[in-house]
Amino acid sequence: MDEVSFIKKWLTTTNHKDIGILYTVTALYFLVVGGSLAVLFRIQLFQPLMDFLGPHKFNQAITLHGLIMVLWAVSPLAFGLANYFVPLQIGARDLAFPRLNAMSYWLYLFSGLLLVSSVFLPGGGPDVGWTYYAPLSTSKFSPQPGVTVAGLAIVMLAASVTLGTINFIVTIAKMRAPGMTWMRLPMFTWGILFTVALMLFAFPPLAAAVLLLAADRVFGAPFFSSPYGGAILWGHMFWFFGHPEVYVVLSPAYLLMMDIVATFSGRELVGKKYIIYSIFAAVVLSFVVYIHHMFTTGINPLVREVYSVTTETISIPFGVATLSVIATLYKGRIRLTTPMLFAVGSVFLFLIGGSTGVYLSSVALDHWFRGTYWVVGHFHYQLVGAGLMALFAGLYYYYPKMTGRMYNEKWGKIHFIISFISFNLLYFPMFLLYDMPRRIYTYQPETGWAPLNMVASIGGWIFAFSFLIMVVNFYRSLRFGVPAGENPWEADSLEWTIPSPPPEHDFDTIPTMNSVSADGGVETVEHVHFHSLMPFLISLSIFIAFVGLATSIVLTFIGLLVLFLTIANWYRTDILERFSTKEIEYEAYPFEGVVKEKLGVWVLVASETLLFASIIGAYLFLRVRTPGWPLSYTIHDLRIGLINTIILLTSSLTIALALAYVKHGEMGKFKASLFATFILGGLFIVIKGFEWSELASEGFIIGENLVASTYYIATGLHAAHVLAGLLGILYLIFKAYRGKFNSQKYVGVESIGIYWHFVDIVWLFLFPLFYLI
Amino acid sequence: MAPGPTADVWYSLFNLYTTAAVAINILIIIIFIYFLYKYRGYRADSSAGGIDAKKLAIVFVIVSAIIFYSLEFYTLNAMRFVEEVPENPDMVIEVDAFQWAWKFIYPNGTESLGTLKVPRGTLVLFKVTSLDVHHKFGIPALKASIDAVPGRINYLWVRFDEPGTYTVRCYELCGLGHANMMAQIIVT
Repeated sequence: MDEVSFIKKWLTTTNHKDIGILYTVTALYFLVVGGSLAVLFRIQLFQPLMDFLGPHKFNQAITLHGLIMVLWAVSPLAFGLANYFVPLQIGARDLAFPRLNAMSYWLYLFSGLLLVSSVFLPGGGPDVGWTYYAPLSTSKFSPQPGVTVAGLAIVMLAASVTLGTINFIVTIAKMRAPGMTWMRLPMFTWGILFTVALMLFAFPPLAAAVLLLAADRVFGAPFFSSPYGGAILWGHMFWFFGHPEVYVVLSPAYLLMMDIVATFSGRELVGKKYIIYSIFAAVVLSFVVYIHHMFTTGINPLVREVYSVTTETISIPFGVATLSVIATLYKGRIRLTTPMLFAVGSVFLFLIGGSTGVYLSSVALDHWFRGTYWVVGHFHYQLVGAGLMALFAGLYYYYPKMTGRMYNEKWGKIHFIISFISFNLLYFPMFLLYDMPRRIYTYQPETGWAPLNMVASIGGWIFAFSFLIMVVNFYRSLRFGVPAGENPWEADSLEWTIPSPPPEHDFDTIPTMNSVSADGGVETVEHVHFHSLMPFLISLSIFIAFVGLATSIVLTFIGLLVLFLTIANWYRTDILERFSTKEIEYEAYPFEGVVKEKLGVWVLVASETLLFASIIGAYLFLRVRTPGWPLSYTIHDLRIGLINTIILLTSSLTIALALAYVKHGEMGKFKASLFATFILGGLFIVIKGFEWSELASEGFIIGENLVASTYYIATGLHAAHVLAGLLGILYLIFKAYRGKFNSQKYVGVESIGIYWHFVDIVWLFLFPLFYLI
Repeated sequence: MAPGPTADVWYSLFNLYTTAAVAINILIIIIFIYFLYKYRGYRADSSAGGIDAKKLAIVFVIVSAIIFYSLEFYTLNAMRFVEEVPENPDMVIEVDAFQWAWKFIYPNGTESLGTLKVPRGTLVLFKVTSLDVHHKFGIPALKASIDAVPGRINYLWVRFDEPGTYTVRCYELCGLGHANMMAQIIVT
């Protein structure tokens, strides 16, 4: 392959294995960035009163370290493996929506670059801690644009995550090979399923919180700067995301570890069913434990007692799962290869991290621990020890499958020994430093914290260095490794039944599952992988537009122009049906009747519902706390509101009619109904714009007060969704005039129709809030 | 002698949790390492190993529930003890946290920046708030701590049973001066 086509291949690929490699390599890159920051601030903390970074650089380093490691490194590393192996494990040849998958990746990459580039802005990058606590993160206390840009990066990442969520849920629900029932799915696929389900509910509140914070920072809107509960509101919104996020990071790694332990014990996992039930329970519980991050803020004692109990309860399912792992070893045929060592090591670290977490669930102990190094030690044992170490196990485990060659086993074991010891040198002293505050850039000699910090720093540097052993090992083994063959580990899931590395189309015939192992295959239609530059271009143009917001508005316009042209091109190719594939559906219980696209839209609607619910919830939270309510302009002109309500309701009717007509093949009426829907939607936007300009001319502007900010943000976000819906309707109109719909083919109308109804329903919630009460 | 009742309660709870955690972890890790050692390359039937997973899970859930909820029982007792705001404190001190220092206001209205003097054995009630961003008021020696949140007042009681100088630190990132946001309480 010559150089040009190499670059073109990686920019345009939509193949899940290529995207998986891109994700993995990019996540490892961000791991190096985040790790280097940690090496730097461990130098600063090596001795008391060190003069190396100073408070400003130190605070930036810890903030970026936290954001990068949690959001851009560890979780995406799991998604690298997921992209590569979930389709293989379920017997599919790609994800449900390959181009959306490519877009997830490019949005992720560019959002990470946006985050990192924020340090070059005047005033530096974000320095408020990755938790972004308000009011420190509001413009009054942190005016530098870096804080806003990092926020935009988080919003962009949330978009990437939402697309990924939709893709994986639909893929796992709809594209399993014949006989691949839910209970036969490998644990890693279950781990990804749990993770995307958590992401679906956790990321929209985060996106909402960051959007409100951006409004705070850019327009002076009084959400988190409100003296009536603004700080507490941030805590609620952030930790509603933040706690489930821990399980988002942990679950794929933890369940992948189980697959590896089972393989190298030469037996099936003991009590697989109970493990799945347990993790499911933990996933549900994870949304009702987040208040434990706010035990010391002074909220209601009863609430804290309840959350303390739920938090202790969440230890039980994880205990069941860990016990099953130990039971799997019993009378197994254990091979202590590198992946097994890392897997077992991660269980040890999980035990320590879990036990120290039980202390934190105790309100009385947490009173003191909150904000100390005990917390830092605990979550690093979980996220790095249990999470990252298990993902390293996964990298060693899957390296032969992905490259076709074995890594060097001796150096793999050396990596394990060095990293396991240095990990404990790094993080165990933090439990003994339970009087030392987190995030302090220096400490006084008389505190007596120096020896433990020295040990931690030395351990940290060794731990960082040990990562290079793996990189060199992998790099050299690409050339010098022994050919691995199909199934070097004698594992029994589907990815091990095909050659290493797998061919472009993965499976020659779709495997069928009988009991737990593959059994024969069925013929299927030919599978084609497409190339498209559009996911890359869309992500790039959003990146440019966001950089423009912080530097020069010209860039923003260029970005938006490219974005617009790319979307137009996407329409053109889609209407020509260049990318349509035929897939046969086998195992899709309980979604047999639901078309892929429709299921995808339903998942999207679930995520959007949470976005609006978060914003409305934030408004109500502040409203009941603000004295002197109602303020003026709480209730807007009812006539305008009513007219717009009627317009939107009518448009719901016309889109429903369009669907009915296309089903009956009445194409003329179908087109007319689509057209009517478009006109009505457009009319809604025009009236909205008219109303806004009226209000603005009366001095009712977004930064005015809570009423104004909420009104503009909620209705503005809704209007943006109406616009997105209109783009969808426009697509339908073009496609209808090309004659691409008929009484058998109308999935697009149905899917976009669902979205349009959703947008109308949101309005039915906003209307009373701003026009009636 | 312990510096005060809050530290007493905290350390006894901490020791209880530590005893349970160490005992359970050592037990699990011994079994774990024993299995890893015993069954290295061991060749037996690779199917079941004769474990009844259902029974195992049920027993584990019951045992661990008993352990966790007993711990929780002690936690709730301790929580009520340290959180109950005393009706008749000997002294009420207002604490204003701001970037990056602590201001103490005595009952007679006298203000003091960074230093508080109290007699030994006094039951002190702190009314803690913040004038700007989120801080956390903490006295390491007493294991007593509460958030300083703008717009609200949080209560924290302590009793200093030992004379000496106690350090107050901030335990929530509050900007550039977070590391040096300290005060002293001198107990005579």
